[in-house]
Amino acid sequence: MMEFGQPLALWTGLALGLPVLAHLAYQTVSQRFAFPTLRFLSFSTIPRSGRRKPSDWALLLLRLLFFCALTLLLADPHWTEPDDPRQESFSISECLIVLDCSPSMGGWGGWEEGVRYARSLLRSDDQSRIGLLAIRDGTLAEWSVGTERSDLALALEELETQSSPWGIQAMIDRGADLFSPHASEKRMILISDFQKSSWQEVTGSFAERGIEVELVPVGHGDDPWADRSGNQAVVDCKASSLGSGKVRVWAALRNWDDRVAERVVSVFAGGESRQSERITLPPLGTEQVQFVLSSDDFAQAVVRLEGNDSLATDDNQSLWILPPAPKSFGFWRQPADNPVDLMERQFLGAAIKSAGDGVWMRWRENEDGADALRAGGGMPSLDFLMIVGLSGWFEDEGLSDPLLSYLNAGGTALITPPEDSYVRMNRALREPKILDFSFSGKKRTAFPMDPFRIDVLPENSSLAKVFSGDSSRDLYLAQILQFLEVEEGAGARVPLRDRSLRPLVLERSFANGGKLVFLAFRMLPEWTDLPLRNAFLPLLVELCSLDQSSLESGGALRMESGEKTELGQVVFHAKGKGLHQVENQRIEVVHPLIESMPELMKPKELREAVSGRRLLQPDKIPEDDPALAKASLPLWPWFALSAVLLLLVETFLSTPRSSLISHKEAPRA
Amino acid sequence: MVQTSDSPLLDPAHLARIEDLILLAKVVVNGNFFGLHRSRRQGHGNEFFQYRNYELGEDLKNVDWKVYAKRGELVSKTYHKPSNANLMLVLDASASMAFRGPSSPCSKFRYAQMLAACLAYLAHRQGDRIGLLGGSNGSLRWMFPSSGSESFKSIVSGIGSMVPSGSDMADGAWHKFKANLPAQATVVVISDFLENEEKLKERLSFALSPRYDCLCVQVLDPTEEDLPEADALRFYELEGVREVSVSPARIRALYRNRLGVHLESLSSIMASTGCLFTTVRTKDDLGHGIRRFLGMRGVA
Repeated sequence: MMEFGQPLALWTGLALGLPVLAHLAYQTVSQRFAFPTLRFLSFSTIPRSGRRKPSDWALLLLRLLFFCALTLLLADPHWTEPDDPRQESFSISECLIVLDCSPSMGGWGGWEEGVRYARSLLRSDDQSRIGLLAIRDGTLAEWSVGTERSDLALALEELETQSSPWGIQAMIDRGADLFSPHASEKRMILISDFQKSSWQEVTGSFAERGIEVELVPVGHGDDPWADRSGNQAVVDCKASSLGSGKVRVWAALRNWDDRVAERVVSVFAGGESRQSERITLPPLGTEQVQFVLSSDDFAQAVVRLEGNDSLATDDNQSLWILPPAPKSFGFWRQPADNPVDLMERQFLGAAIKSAGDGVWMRWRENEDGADALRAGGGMPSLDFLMIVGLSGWFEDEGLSDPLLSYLNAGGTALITPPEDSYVRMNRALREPKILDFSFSGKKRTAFPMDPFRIDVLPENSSLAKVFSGDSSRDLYLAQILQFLEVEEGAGARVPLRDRSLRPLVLERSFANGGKLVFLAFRMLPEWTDLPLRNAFLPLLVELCSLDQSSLESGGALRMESGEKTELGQVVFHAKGKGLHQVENQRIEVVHPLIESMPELMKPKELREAVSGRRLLQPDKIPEDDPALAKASLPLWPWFALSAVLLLLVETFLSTPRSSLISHKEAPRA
Repeated sequence: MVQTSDSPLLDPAHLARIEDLILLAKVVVNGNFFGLHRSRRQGHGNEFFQYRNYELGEDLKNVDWKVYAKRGELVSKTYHKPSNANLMLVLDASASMAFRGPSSPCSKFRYAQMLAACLAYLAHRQGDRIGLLGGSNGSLRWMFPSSGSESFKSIVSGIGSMVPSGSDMADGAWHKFKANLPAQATVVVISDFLENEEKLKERLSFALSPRYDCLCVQVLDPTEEDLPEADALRFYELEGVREVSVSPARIRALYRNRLGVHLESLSSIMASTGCLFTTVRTKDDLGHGIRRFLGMRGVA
């Protein structure tokens, strides 16, 4: 049977009257007549003799057929095989409840209201088959359409508001697929507070797929679509060291209401309120507050807004206030004090100590640890070892074994060359198989004004990611006055070269994350001006993998609930607010700021967003369903062909032939 | 319907089928006007005319001795007497002359061609010199008056080769024509005279001179006078780009009136310039125009 994708277009069939009217009301002067002169002719009205009867039945019939074909073409006709009579007589009504579980639903009583509405649907006498789509344990949870209502009621009891990487869009997309293709009625009930931050990017095409959407706003009070008010939030917290065992706790508080709010903010540590302060929050404004606590007693603190407001989950925020344990570094150098070694040691030590975020002391020199490692006394807690001026003394003292043990245990070491005895240096590293490379000489610039330069960093290298823009320009301007000409061996990589592609830095990885970095030049003014440049510290940090930039206040990683991150071999999933520690990494999970925003979507915007542009009948067969598309044969090409042929014939018939112009009477069409 | 002709040989419906204009002219003139026009006069000339019996006292230099040697008879050769008469044919070949009504046997231009060829033959038989000016503003054909068979053939060939196109002849052509007219001449202008009547006085001003006779033959199609039968037509002019949609039945009376006023105006203008003016229809036989010509020449 023939069906139409655009049945409304059949109304254009009224245009069938046009050719009839044209025949009845007008006579087209289509015949031209050549005449010697028009000077004696005058304008005249054209007689409408056709009013009495159509004068050309064939032409009229052709035009009627043309408009019929055009009308059917516009209506998007399809030929579909008749359905199974048993299916036709069996009417299926399906209903899917989509429950928004975002944290904003926890405020303004939205969650309770939503669950209550869902329960009422389950208790109703409606014979529809019902399904449920929600977020459970941070993932998309679905109960297929047709699940027992008692099971759905139990599932509702287990649900709670939570953050999840699965947003509303994922629920919308998945929900459209849960309906069976033969359902005669498909209804999706969206229960949400329709907070703008969650819904503004949502798009759907339910109208095209024949799904009827019902919007159920919850948590809005008496006016279902009014903006919400009465919420203040702790939007940010930070802790910083004040020295002398003191730590400053700073908090930013936001008033989402359009009225002034008076609130008391307190900081809790060790289960007790340590300090409180009354603040006045301006309408839709932000206020800051600071507390000074002793950092020795407590590792954690909570900044809390006292009292209740519309959304309780954003009224407090936890943070780490105990400084993280600093990492340690140490030096190995030749026993005798060498001014050059001492100067390089000073350069490197100062640089590493400054490799923090200015809040907590991140690196601490541990000379005893370095000496203990040198003496072979166990495995001290030393995160970074720098060996300056490695030469024969390294071999004489038999330090290769302690160094290898240290590297294989996951330690990081940096080696700089000596002022002389390069062959012994090479042997000391190559023979114990610490680093395989060959040494061919020392390159020294002939003219100080024409130094060696660092070559362009390879794309996608870790160094290239750090050095971009001005920082890369500073690095490329660095002067290398002299360096050792080396050739990497097996297992060694070259992260940095000069412009003649000679290695400037060699590195080798060891088991358990250990890393050895060998510089072909010394960090001294006679060798390079790199220690005097801004690029020095980031280059050193990146080469030795000392990057700490991802750490937030108190050395903690700040995450929003629902996010995931990789910490070494562990994947951490931030499910709920609070403080966590994974291995040595401290983590603060905070409430997503956007969930506190009170703006809501307007119903018209929502309906347009989820329904799509076209408003079709609910039982329209989805075009992208391959199983059903096979049974539906589009007929529009045939109607298009018919319309074109009819138009051509009509044009041929209605055009006066040239031989008739002067000799025969004109046709009256 | 074609009107009854004096003779079937003058009926344009028949004559229009004859492609050869010389043959057509001979058929028309020799078949219908034999004796009605002056024949060539015998006299001293260069072109042989005929033999006749020698008459006593006649100059012996006229005797053809070769005939005498063969037949033993004295015969004299007679020659055409050269004529000083000139016939100038002016043939309008503008696009409007190409019009042929639905019921007409031929177009106006074909009719004009046939008439011009007949007049040229008549003049040729009388030994007149014949000249031709024809064409339109786009192409112009100009032939100085001359006599003889070859000249006659050239004139008729020129008449037959013209194709109507463009608009009326430009003023410059008329100035050149007047400047090169022989001292005496009979001028026959064949046109539809539908445009530029205000210029006719100046163009035909030579006819005021007693040395020139001028006959203006207006060729019209019956459809031009009555408009075609149709409910509505979109008329477009042959010499322009204008179009107008009218109902011929509704404007027929007004049209006739306007055309009549125009013809009266033409007659007045022709009279003021001393030109004879006559109107022929393409369904009329050719005799009407030829008789008017012979009457002007005082022959018929």
